[in-house]
Amino acid sequence: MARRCLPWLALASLPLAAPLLALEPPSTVARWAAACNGCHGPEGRGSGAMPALRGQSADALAAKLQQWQDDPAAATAPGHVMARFAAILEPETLRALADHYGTAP
Amino acid sequence: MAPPSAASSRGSHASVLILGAGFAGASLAWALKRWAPNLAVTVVAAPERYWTCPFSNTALLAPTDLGTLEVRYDAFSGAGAPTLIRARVRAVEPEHRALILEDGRRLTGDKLVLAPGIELATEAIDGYDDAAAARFPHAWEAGPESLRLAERLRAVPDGGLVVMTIPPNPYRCPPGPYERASLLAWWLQRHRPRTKLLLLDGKDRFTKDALFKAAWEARYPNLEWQGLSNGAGLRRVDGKTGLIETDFDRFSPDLGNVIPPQRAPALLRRAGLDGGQGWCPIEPTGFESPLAKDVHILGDAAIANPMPKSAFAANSQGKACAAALIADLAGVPRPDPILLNTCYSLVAPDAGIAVVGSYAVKGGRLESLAAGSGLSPSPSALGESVSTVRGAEAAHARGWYESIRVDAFREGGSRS
Repeated sequence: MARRCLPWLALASLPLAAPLLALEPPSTVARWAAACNGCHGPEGRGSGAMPALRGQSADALAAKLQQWQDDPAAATAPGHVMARFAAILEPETLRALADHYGTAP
Repeated sequence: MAPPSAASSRGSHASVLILGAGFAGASLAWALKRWAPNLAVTVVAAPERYWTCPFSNTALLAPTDLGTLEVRYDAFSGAGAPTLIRARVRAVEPEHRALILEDGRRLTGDKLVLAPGIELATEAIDGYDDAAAARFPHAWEAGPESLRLAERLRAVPDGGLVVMTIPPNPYRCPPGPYERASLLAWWLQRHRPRTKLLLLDGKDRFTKDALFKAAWEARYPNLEWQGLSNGAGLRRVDGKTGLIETDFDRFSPDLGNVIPPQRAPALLRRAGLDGGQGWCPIEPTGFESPLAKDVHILGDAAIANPMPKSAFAANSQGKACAAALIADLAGVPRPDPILLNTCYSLVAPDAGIAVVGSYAVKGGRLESLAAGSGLSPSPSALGESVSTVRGAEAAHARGWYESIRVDAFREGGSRS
């Protein structure tokens, strides 16, 4: 979750009881991750046959998304669902999502 | 618990008042608390028990499973959670962003979000009265109605006739009637092999129709579908005699499942939020009503086509609306909404199909993105792998349900 970093001076001048966080819309990757969690469960932990995203390697996740993006026609069910969603991901969002869920190599 | 203040405080002290704790309202409430923990989020939901419509068709086959579809709202109202008020609402005052509760309480928020679901427009069917409602259980809201339909199904004699009537568009869960028909045909095939299932449809095309029809042809010789052009439009029902009359024919089935047409609930229509159209218009970047500033409408009650009236769409709209509300309250531009849908349908307990949609705002309207939309492959494209692939999608449908239950309501889906 992206949070605005307040300058130290401004922070110091706030009364203690006041909320320290200003309202800020969620980042693109946070909003995409929320979308992914609709099927893959909170924090992408997976449920039953719906695969867990959390715990896979970031590179493997990125490679899988890339593969769907490159050749959606090759994706048979149930992969066809992900081929469609991968098709509309911008390259930087694809990588950021893989990093969001994935583990470092 | 303090109701949201009427003060027009903005920023981190702001408040959002939500009507409805279905997939749209609950998803919105939790997304807001996640992304803006200091926001005061209050959800008002009817005191009645609530069972999810997704997977309620499977409860017709196994009625004891209905309990697993009940949402208990255990996670609400704790620390860091949205506040849940179980109460009936008497009126909506869009100009004040207010809800008037039946006990006289008046709640307001800096933003008012309405996600009340549907209302059955039973008077659109000639002859539909209490007797008809009892004789032809619709089961289009899950719960006791589902059990009634399941019970009536078991009373159908072998060699009998079951009739389903399906409304014209738009209505909640476009593929729902066809999934139900598939599962009823599956059950009849096993328990009443000489009983016929007849579908009388108020339209000629429907979602995933080629996939459903291919499955029916391969599996269910006991199922017959008739569209509007075949004269299947519903004319009249008679709850006393059990008669169902179409444009061209009359039927006296052993069981009738009459699914009435639908519209936005009276609460919203009385407040003028449907603009006289029956469903409520919205602008798609934040699902704000063009008829009332700072009033947003989500889920089945909204006109969000090409998005269907589905639980998945409602969940997606809840999250997109959360981001838009936070942007509005922070005084910054709304981000482009991420709006997605997948509707899984079972054509048999172990066989699923899916339709996928992705949407973007273009010229102020919601449009489908062609690259992000599609259907499960056809049987001819799959060849011999058709049962493996359909089986995998049925398993994914169940996995999806487990996930979205926890995602939307933050409680454990207890389906085994």
